[in-house]
Amino acid sequence: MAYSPNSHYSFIFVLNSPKRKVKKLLTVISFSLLLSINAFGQFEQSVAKIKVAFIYNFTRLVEWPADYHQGDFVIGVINASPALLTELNTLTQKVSGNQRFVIKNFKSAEEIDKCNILFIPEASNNLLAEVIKKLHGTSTLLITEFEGDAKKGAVINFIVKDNKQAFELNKANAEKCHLNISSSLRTLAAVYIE
Amino acid sequence: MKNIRYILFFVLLLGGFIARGQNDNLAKAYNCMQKGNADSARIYIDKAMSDPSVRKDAQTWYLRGFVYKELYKKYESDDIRSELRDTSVHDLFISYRIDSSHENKETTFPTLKYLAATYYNDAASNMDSVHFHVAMFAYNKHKAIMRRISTDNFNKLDIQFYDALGEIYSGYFFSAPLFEVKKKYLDSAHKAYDKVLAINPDDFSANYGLGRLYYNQAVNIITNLPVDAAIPEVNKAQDTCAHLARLSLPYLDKAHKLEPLKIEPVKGLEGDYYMLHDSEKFEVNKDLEEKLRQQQSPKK
Repeated sequence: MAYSPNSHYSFIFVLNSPKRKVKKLLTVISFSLLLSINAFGQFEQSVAKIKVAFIYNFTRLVEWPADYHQGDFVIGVINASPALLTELNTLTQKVSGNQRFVIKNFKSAEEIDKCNILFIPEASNNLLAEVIKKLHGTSTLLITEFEGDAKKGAVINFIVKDNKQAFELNKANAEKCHLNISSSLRTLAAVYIE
Repeated sequence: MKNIRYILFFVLLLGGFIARGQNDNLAKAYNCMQKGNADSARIYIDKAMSDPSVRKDAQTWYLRGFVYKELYKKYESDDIRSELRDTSVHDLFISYRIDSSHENKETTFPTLKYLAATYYNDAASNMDSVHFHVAMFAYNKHKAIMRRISTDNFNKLDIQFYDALGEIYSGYFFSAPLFEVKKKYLDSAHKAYDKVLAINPDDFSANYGLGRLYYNQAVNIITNLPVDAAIPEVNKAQDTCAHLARLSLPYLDKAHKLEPLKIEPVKGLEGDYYMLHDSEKFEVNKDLEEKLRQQQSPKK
C-alpha cells in the first residue's frame, strides 16, 4: 500500500511563520545591547584606584619625622578628578598607625596646609613651581605625574612603563624633606634617582 | 477539499491494513484517529505495537508518530521536555528508516518539520536570562531533527541563536557580584560568540560583545583589587588588566569598523587605551566619541 502524497497534508498544521520566530531572537539581542550602553564607564575609576593603591603603599613604606605622626594623616590633592577623589576617600576607612586618614582637595597652592602627602595630578602640573615654594621646609611627600618632575622637586613621580602605572623615586628630594624611604620602596621604583 | 483528502487518506491506510490482515488494534487506532480521538488511538496503537510483525511496518510507526504528535499538542505543548513529542519524533524517524523505498518521506518529513518548528518556537520563547538552558536544549533538538531531513544551512540561525546566548551570558557576567563567577560567565559568553565568529568573523554583535567582556573584565580586575594591596600585587593586577585590554582592542576595533556610527565601540576603545595609558589613542577616540555624539544629538 502506498501513501497518497497529497492526503497527508491534512495532518500538517500551520507552522509558525519563520519570520516571526527570527524576530523574537533579534528582540532579545536588541534588548541586551540597550542594557549594555553604559558598560564602558569605569576606566577612569580603575586607573585612579591603581594610583591610590600606590599612594597607600607609600604611607607604609615612607617614614615621616615625629611631628608628622601627630593628628591626622593628611593626604592632600590639587584639583582631584571625581574618580580620584572617590578612590582617595576609600582610605578614610583605614588608619596609618594611630592616625586616621583625612583627604583634602585643594583648589590652589595657596590653600595648601600641613600634609603628609601632596599629590599634584597631571592636569594641575602647571602649579608645580608654586607648590614646591609653598612646601619648602616641610616634610610633605610630594607626588607628581608629569615627565621630568622627579628632577624638579617631586619625591615620587608617577610614570607609565610598559603600559603600566609605575613610579620614579628621587632620593635627594626625599632627604631634603627628612623623609626616610624604605629599601623595599626603592627596589619597587621603576626609576631610582640617587 | 482538505477534509476529502483526510478521509481518503484514512480509508486508504485502513484498507491497506485490513487487506494485509494485520493487527485489529491498528484498524481501531485508525478509526479513533478518524474520529479525532487520539487518547483511544494511543491505547490501540500501543497494543498493536506489541506484535513484532507490526513493528516492521513503516505505516504503523507513522501512525503512532502521528497519534503521539496529536497527544503532544493536546497535553504537553507547554512541556519543553514532552515525552509525547520525543516519542512522535522517534517513531516518525523509524517509519522513514524502515521504509526502504522512502515513499513515506512525503508524509513523515512535513510532520517532522512541524515538530522541529515546535522545538524552535520553544527555543525562541525561552531565550531569556532565566530559561536560556531550556532554549539551548530546544534549539539543539530542532537542529537534530532538521539535520536529518533537510540540507538547509544553519549558519544564519546559529548566528542569531549564539549572539543572543552570548548576550545572556554577558548579562550574567555584568550582574555577578563575585569575580570568579564573572569569569565563568565570561568563558560561557566567549564560547557562544566564538561560534558566531567562526561562521561570520564580521558579525558586529559578537565582536562588540567580546570586546566589551574583555574590557569589563579588565576593569573588574582593578575594581576587585584591595586598596591596601602590596605593590607587587598591584603590578600583577595591572599586567592582567593590560592583557585583557589588549585582548579587547581588536574586537572593539572590528566592531567600530563594522558600525562606524555607533558610539559604544568607540567608548570601549577609549577605555582600553586609557587603561593601557596610551594617551594619544585615548584622545583620538575621545574626540571621535564627542563627534559622534554631536552628530547624533537632535538639532535644536
